[in-house]
Amino acid sequence: MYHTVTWMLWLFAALLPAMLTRNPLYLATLLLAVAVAYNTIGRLSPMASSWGVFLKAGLILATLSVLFNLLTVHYGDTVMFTLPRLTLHLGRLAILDLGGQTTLESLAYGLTSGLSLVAILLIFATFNVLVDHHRLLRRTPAFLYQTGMITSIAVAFVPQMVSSLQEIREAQAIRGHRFRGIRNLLPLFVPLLTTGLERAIQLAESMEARGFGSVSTSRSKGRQTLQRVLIATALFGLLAAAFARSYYSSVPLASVLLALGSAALLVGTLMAIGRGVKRSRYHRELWRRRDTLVSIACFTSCAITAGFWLRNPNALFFYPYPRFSLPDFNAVIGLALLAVVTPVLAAPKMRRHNSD
Amino acid sequence: MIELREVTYSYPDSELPVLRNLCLEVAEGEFLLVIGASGSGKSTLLRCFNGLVPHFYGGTFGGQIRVAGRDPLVEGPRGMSAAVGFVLQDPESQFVVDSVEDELAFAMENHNLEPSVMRKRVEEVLDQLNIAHLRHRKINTLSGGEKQRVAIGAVLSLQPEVLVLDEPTSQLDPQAAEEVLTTLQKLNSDLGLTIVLSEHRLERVVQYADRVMYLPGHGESPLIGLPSQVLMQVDLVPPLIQVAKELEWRPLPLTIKEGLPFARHLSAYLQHKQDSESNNHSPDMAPKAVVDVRDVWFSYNGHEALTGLSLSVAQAEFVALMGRNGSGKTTLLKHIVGLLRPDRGRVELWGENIRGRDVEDLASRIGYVPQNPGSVLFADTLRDELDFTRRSHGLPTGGYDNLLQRLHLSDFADSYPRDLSGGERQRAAMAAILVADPDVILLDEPTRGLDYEQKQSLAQFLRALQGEGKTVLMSTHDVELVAQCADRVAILGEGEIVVDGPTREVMSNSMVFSSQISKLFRDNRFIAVADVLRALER
Repeated sequence: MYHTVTWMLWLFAALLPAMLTRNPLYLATLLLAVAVAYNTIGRLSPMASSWGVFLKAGLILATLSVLFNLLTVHYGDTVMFTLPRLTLHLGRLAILDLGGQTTLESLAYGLTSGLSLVAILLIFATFNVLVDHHRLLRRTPAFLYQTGMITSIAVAFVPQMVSSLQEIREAQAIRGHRFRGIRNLLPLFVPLLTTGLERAIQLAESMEARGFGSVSTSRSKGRQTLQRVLIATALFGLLAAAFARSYYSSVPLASVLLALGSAALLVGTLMAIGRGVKRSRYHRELWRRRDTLVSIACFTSCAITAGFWLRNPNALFFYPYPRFSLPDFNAVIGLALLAVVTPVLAAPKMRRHNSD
Repeated sequence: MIELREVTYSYPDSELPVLRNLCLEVAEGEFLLVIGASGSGKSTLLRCFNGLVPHFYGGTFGGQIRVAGRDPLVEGPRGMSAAVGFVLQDPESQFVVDSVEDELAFAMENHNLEPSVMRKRVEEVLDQLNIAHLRHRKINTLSGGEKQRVAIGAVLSLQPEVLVLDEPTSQLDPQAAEEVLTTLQKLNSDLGLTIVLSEHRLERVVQYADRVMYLPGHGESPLIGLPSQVLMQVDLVPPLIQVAKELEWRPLPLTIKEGLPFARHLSAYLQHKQDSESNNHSPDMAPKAVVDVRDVWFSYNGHEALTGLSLSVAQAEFVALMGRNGSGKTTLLKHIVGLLRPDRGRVELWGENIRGRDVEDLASRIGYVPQNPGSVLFADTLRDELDFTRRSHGLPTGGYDNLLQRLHLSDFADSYPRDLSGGERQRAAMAAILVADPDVILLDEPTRGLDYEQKQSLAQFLRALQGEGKTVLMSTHDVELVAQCADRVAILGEGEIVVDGPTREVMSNSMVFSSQISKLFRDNRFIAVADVLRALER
């Protein structure tokens, strides 16, 4: 397996072009590279089943994006066909304009957006399958660790809940219970909740008995209260700033300052709390030669993509309007994107390791 | 190592103390076995050692405790974690991270140990527990026994002076339990680790224990002493000791090996006595099959669970399904009640193929009691729970007082089912299924976490049901229960029936699926305590 840092670099190298480019050829290349990486090494991971879910979600979103563009965008010179037009009015304002002239350009734009959505989702899906979550968590800064730990435990509860839901559903079915309405859900919901709670209590006991938790901060009650107030204030500040941003079209300086100030307060408080928790981290990861190779490839790829983008942001962009033309393809960028496939190099070794 | 003085404790919302004026001393390197009926306060006592009681649970606590020179009352569970390793009953719900190696490191990370120290200790623990081959595995791919060993490793990495385990094997099958217990015995004898263990199935551990502590419950004062002394005075004992006490074998044998000379002697005597008696076997009539499973194949997630399994059960028969975890017992039961449908083959009930019939429909004639009673119970009172089942089947509510009485649940009719103790809950779940008065009763692992007395009364209850003409099919790991009540045993292996025959024959021919009494006498007339006593009475 690869080092967690290598995977983080890989994620960055894959996400950067996915975010920067809107060129369907680059996106398709990237998508292909990610799919190959998943197919050769991701399949071996116990998390592999989640990939399909991401893929399905991506395809649904992409279809929606294509349909939305086709039906609502009427720009572009190449009209493919004309649909009956439907306009929804709210007062005198037309709020939705469906159908009418359907252009090749809107199809191209919709497909490109869809492709970019699928690419981003699949990059995360592949990363999710390949990286070891706990090791990733250990890389987070100390003040986030506790929160991250608790979140990861909560996430781990979900599959357990799903399997106990199945068990409970069966148990109620064999009592002759048929589900007809909301009220009938009670025999499902109550056991699920109580079983989950019982499990949570046991886990809490087990964690406490192994010394989890902040020892030093729990000493002074006053300080604890202060920390809670500070966190609440910071969160409220962030919320207010977000609200201001969505309310006013131009972003007022005050709200930017508020957002920055609140964020600083939040991080500061969390760091202060984190300092109270003294805990070490168990690293036993090897940095192998293949990690160096993949890292160099990913780094070079990022540099090339960023270089092109900085010189001319439009070089990575594809804009089909007003008249459709084939997107450009620069072989250097295409090659750079293939860095995403490099982890495949170690596939034979990993397969051997897994079959042990 | 451990010293308790006049410890009294009651839980927050209860008047009655669980522990009252309890005194206990455990020496360094001792192996103490704590026994007692369910709800007698074993778990509470064990949780005092690391401060989970009263820190985690609240309640009122009196008296003094010292464990490894520290005071759990002052230090709390986190402070005690380096001195006391605590392992819970359920292997499923005590893991924090997803890989074995990280789980072993978790406690050390909490204690801020140097990475180099952690590296060294992880290696040590992996070797001590013989789990080095599991180090890269994900926790959810481990078997129950492996999980418990990892859980032990996860607390050993802090190098505690005392290891406390709360019924660590009660959720495991016999082979997995054996793995865990031999590991404990090794830790105790090789490393001199002090171990306090609570356990229901004494026959497996009593030979390892230096002393036994019996908690009678209700805050009464405990019995503490050498295993043979305590077991002499306690009713909750394994079959071997039951027979030995009945027949006054002295010194009290704790293992089959120790019991063999007595048994040889007795066999010779009985042989002599019974030579004249004829064996009156009831002639085998061929009654109609109620459940008929024919060549059923089933696989899920690429795993073949049933491979051409056939089984036929007649009216009023009592069949026990045995076999390793994952051999297909539960899958078979679920096929009979229609929760799972065969990929190939068919399941017939009363001569009719159940394909296309609803589970809800079948359930009125077939009662299936699942393994975990928690998945059944949801209502506010036990009465509501039973009425719910009756209504679901379109039956009039009420009319189950007799059933409650037979299951010793009359006193709990109006209590909240989830507040009941383990054994009571199990019976409540059973009542919730049986209240529909099914003709065929399927039980999945009904004895998990039950003590001897509860098992005894379960066996009697099931026998009585069979006497009324019900057909019972039970999957279990518990050979003693099978010896007491089943007529026939079917042993499954890899989705097939490997052995199928009368209980007496199967038990006397098998090394593993054989009760203590059967191992002792190796004679198919004796498989349960009652058999021996009956033979002597004649």
